[in-house]
Amino acid sequence: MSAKVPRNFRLLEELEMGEKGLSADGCSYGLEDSDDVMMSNWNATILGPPHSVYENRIYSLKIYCGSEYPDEPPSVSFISKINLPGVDQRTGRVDLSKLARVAQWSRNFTMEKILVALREHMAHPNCRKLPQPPEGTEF
Amino acid sequence: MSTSGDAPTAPAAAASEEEQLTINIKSTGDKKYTATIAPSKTVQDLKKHLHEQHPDEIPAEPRLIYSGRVLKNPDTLASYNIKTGNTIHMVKPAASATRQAASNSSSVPPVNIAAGTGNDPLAGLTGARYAGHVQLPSAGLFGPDGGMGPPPGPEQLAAQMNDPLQQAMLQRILSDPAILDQIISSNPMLSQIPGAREMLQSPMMRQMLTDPQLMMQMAQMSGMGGGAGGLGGFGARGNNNSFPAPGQNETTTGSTPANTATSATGNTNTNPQGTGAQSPGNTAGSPPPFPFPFPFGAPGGGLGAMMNNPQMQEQMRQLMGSLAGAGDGSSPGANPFGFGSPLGGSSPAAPADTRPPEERYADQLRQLNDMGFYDFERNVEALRRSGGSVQGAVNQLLGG
Repeated sequence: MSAKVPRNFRLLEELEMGEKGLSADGCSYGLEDSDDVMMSNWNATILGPPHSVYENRIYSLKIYCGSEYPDEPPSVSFISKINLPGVDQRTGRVDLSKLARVAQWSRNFTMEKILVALREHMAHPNCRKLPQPPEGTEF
Repeated sequence: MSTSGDAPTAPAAAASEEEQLTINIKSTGDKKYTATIAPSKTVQDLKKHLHEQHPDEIPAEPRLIYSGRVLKNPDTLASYNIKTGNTIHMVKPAASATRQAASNSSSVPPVNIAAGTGNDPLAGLTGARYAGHVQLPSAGLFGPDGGMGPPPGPEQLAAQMNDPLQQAMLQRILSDPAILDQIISSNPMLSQIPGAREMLQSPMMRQMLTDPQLMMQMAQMSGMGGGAGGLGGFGARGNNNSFPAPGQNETTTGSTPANTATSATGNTNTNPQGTGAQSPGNTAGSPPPFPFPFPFGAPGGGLGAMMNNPQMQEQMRQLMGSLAGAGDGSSPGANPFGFGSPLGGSSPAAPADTRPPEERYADQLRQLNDMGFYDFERNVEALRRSGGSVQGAVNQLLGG
């Protein structure tokens, strides 16, 4: 068994990935406050996938990594208003159990993986017909 | 503040003032650029710099994202804590972004739905021809006021149904509960039917309304003038005359035998209900309050689908019967030659049906047989008088 990477090491790795822009296409994330030594609060954006109703929009999200991260999944909420199954229409909170690829959380999963899964979810044909709130509105 | 106007590309040149940042810009499609710029510069400066360096590839106002944040023009790069070696994501502002937003906002149904097609959420179905769609029927089909003329033939209908634009529109309408509610609440007949909304939303109904072939069959059926119970008259009527108010239905049903009797004898002006006021001349007048501006017998077809549901059948048949009765009432008054329509129920717009009665009324005759009326001649006669309405025919057979 490989050694468990402690929370902060892991988050530093993710921070570097985000800042260096090594993250996957269409997703970006970084610390909300660079002075936050606990590295709990993160910002993220997802660029709406092409050929979807979300195309050309930039969606802002908040990610909170609790003290048990990465053993426990972070909590993820949309800031930009979005009509997407699995997203609470009142709070913008994402129900991770609705995202097939991260529903069974593993500590090897990263914030990036969640964002990529969300973006894939947005590109799903089921979402093609969903009416979307005007761009720029927030939860 | 740096005194050098545009940031010099050689890092050494900046040493005098402050340290320059060398940052990567990653565009969608994996194109990469680098920029060297002082951290005290604003995002606006960076955009300007990028645009000047790559005028052909980078627009004047790209959207920049760093660390999960959209960079705002007046902020400095330092305020975002951008350091050398970091990567900013760039998204080009696509022209379609504004178009997308516009089409999205228009999908919200208007709050004020008055009568007429002007505010109707479905009006786009007919309005699509203004967008230069060649497949659609000519403008002449729709009345001079942009309202509706006679229903198009099955071929035209099929062409219309095959139009992907129309398909998408129908799908959207059927999947939007708000629009459905409007349709139902503004249609006295639909609002009388319990569960109308569920029916309209059911996958079956959706398939019915969006399958061009099915619609074609429907159109042919409603063109038969009674081939599907009272539906024929209904399908044609919906386009020509106002939809009868519920109250009117009841009175007309009650006196259906009297009405049909006059129509059969060719008497023109003894219509006791005065429904003769609905002359074909007013086709071009006020648009019908019927909320489906489908220029074809879609409502008839859709209701035909409901007719296949055994639970709905009896209730629907009664409604249809009363409608066919109303159709009778108007046709003698409207006939300028004073001849009662030989077919009784067919409204002026319906094409004359030349098939023998046993074929034309096959369904109804079977129903009458099931009810215990075995006299073929009398059944046909009664069906003729009632315009194909089983209900009306039963009234005749029992009363006369």
